[in-house]
Amino acid sequence: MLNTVRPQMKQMSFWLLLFILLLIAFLVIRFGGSSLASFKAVFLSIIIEALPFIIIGVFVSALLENFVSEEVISKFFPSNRYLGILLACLLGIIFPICECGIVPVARRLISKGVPLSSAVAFMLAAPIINPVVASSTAVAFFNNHAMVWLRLGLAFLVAYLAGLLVSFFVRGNQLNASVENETGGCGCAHEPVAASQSVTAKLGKTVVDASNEFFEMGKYLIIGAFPGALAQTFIPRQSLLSIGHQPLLSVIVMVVFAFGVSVCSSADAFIAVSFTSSFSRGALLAFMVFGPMVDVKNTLMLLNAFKPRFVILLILIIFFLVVESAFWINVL
Amino acid sequence: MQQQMARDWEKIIKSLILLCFGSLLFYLVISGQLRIYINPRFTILTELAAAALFSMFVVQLFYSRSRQPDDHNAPRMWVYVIFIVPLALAVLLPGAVLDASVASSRGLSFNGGNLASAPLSQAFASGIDPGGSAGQQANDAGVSKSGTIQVTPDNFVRMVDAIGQSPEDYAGREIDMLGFVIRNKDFAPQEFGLIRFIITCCTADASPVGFILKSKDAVDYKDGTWINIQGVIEVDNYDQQVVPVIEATSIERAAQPSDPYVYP
Repeated sequence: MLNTVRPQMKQMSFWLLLFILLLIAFLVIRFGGSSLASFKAVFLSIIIEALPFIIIGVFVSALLENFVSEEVISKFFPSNRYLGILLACLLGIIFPICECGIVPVARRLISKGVPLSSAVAFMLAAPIINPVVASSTAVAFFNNHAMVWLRLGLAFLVAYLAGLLVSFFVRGNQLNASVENETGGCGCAHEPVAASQSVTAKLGKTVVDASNEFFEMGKYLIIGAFPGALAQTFIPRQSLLSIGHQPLLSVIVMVVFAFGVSVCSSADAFIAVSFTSSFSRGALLAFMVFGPMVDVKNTLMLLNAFKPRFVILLILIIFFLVVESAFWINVL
Repeated sequence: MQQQMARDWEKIIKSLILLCFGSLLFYLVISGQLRIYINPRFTILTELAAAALFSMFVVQLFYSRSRQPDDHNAPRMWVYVIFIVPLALAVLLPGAVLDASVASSRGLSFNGGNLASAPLSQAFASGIDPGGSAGQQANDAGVSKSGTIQVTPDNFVRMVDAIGQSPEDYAGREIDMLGFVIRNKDFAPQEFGLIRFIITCCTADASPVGFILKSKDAVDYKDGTWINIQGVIEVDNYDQQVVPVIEATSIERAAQPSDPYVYP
């Protein structure tokens, strides 16, 4: 089996590389060399900005794996689904993990026995409902504090309802089986935490786990930064503006824009505020709620961690919840 | 046997990538180049990330066991190509400063009230900024009634914001500032924008911020040219908004500063 998979991968990497080179060559010819420098600047800045956060994410995940037993975690989450999801939505207040690092943590929680619904609610809410993002949003919308509460409220609503829908309609843990075996690096991800292991051994294993997960998630960060940087460098923002005040279309445009640009949740409020005069309020909120929950890099990480059908279902749920509520905010 | 070798190779490649990323971050911090990618207030995070990457490198290289023979996941080398792309870009491609075309594609705004930066500076001046007292002083200095307004990288955001918010208060004042030239389609031949990029988090959120400038020599200065100007602030209408406009008294070409961005 291995022999059939390997050549395919080799081919894929070859085509991928060729595609990237051709695209870069085309853009240099079309826009000139200085725009390539701009592209490089944006591409690298997204990666450099996100690296610390993704490293925090994989270390939290690895620490959970090696130092916190399943009993502790399952005792922490109430078994009542309404309470469990509620708690998960608010956990970001003490665990402010941004969206670059949240997927490995959520996956680890699920493999430690946390219900899928609570883990999903945590994954969606924590990158927004946390002190860092709340204060950066407050700074950006200093003269319009309603936006802060609307953003937090909308994020809570979407995360809670998505968690609830998942708890009613989705069975099983939905993790990708192949990945589950791989996470431990040595194929021992599901060994219970051995109490007898010395702390140094555990620490060593924590770093190994973290670095394995870093490679697993890091590649999606890099792939996701690519279209983000392309959009930031080459798509004129004015092309978005003509539709800015239609109640439904403006929301959808901003959701798609948020998906494409992959800006960190602690910075996106500043981008949103620069659209204040040209976009409806619902559209700005949709941008600030959908973006941290789903964007290119996140979707790739989700597809790696979860079954594809579940990822599509989850994105559709989030899309409809966000678009619907933002539309009502615009109309009311 | 061959697979065993591939696994050893994988371990070495992984270690090298970790080492390279750590070194890149470390180099950016000590050379000061980090500022062209992210706001320097995140420097400490980048330093911690570099330290974490080095520790991962050491552990990966010396302590991690190679994959067990019964592990069915074949090493996938193509994955590592992805990690080499940003490293290669960082090392091989010279220059990483946003150019003027990005400014026009981001949309120009010359009224302080519309700028992403405006609220920031306000909030910072009122004490959210750890260096809040400095912000307060500069704000007072901006309100003072006489003298030339010197726009520096440190007070850029506050000054542009204050003047943009209430141009009438500053009409007739002399101003001295550095920036680069940018144009909109609807500018008259004797007009151009004089702006700098503001970086809130990273270059991805850079927003062009500045003033409209009027000069009879405007056509001599191409988009992207860095200039030092002196002029007088006037009030004008642009795009149905009251905006400050600088009537230039002197324009001098300047080199692009080593630190081309400003940070709120």
